[in-house]
Formats: sequence, C-alpha cells, structure tokens
Amino acid sequence: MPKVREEESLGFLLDEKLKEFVTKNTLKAKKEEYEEQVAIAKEVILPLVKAVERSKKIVRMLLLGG
Amino acid sequence: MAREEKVVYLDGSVLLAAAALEDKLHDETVEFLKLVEQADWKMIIGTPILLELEQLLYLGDMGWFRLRHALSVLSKYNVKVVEDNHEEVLKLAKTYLEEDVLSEKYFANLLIFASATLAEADYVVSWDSRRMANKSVVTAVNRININRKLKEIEAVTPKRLSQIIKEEVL
Repeated sequence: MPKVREEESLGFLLDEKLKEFVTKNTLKAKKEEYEEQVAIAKEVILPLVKAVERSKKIVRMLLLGG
Repeated sequence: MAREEKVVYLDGSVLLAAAALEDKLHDETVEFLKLVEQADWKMIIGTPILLELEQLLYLGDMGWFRLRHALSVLSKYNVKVVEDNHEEVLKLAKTYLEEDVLSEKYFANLLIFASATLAEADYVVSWDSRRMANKSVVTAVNRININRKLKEIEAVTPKRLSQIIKEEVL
C-alpha cells in the first residue's frame, strides 16, 4: 500500500479546521462559558447520534422487508 | 487467559477519515476500527470531540454531510461518548498550556489530551503525528500526569495501533 501523508487526508484537514474553531471558542473561556458550550454541543449532537442509529435500523428493516 | 481490555480515545481526524469513502486514509482507518473491535477494546470520545462535531453544523451542506457520516461511524463501531467532568478537563488543559505542552494555537488538542487522561484512556489515536501522536508532546503530557497522579497515556496513529494489535493482541 503506498504511504499516504496525513495532509492528503480530507478528514485530517477538516479536523484541523474544526480544532481551530474549538480553540477560538474555548481558549479564553471561563468555566461557566465552557460548560455552556459543552451543554449546547451535547444537546445538539447526542440526539443526532440516536437519530442516525434509528434511521439506519429503519432502512435495514425496510430492506429486509421486516 | 482473558485479554486485557484497553480504552482507546478517538480523535476527530480518525472519525472524519473513517466517515468519508473518498478519504485517502479511509481504508486504513476502517481497518484499524475493525481491529480494535476484534481485540474487544473499548472506543470512546469525549466532549471536546462533540465540540468539534458541532462546528460541522456551521459549514453548510458539506458540514451536515460529514457530520451524518461521522455519527454513523460512532454507531457502527460502538464508539461511546464519555461523560467528562468539564471543569476538570478545562483545568487540566490549561495546566498543559501553562507547562508549554503545545502553544495556545492548539488548545483544542490539549482539551482532548485532558479529556482522554481523565477518562483513563490507554491510547489517544489521531492522524495528527505532529501535535497528537507525537512522542515529545506525549512525554510532556505524561510528565504533568505523573506529577498529578493521573494515568499516563499513549498517543499513536491508527496505523501504529493496528500494528500493536496485530503483533501483541490477535
């Protein structure tokens, strides 16, 4: 397998960008501000994790005709 | 003899590489996730990774697309979201910063090291071999962890951990 440099990975490059945003938002954050940011991220992302899981189950059921 | 269960903390770069079929590191990342599953090790992410994933929502359709696929990786490979003590994570990341583990430009990376340390992970796995899976960075993190009687961690690339699992576990 030819060696792939990390800079060639879209995931790596996108992740660097996301980390820049997180750094910008959290570097000077006080405890309360950080907690609020985390609370919002959890409120938004965790239900989506469940929704994606459910939609996959539904698609699987439909494909299996169950 | 029962195999020892290790805890593997995934960085965003790993989730995102696994989430995109066209990613040049996709196949290698998926192979790694399957090996961790085969080894019966636990895969986790903490709240700093949720903060990263949330940022995808502000990147329009492309962001939504990536987010959906990254979330599929969580359910497909049974990656658990751990409950961080946010105050402790922030405090420890700030200590890493004060001790010059990395510059403030990379504070998000320090949050991940703090979250992984407090979750008592054995490995942090990242495709970033300069600021995460880097020996001198991890040595600096562990110097602080040892002083504070916290768990020492290892940070490696998926490629390296795949090699370890193949040679030492399976």
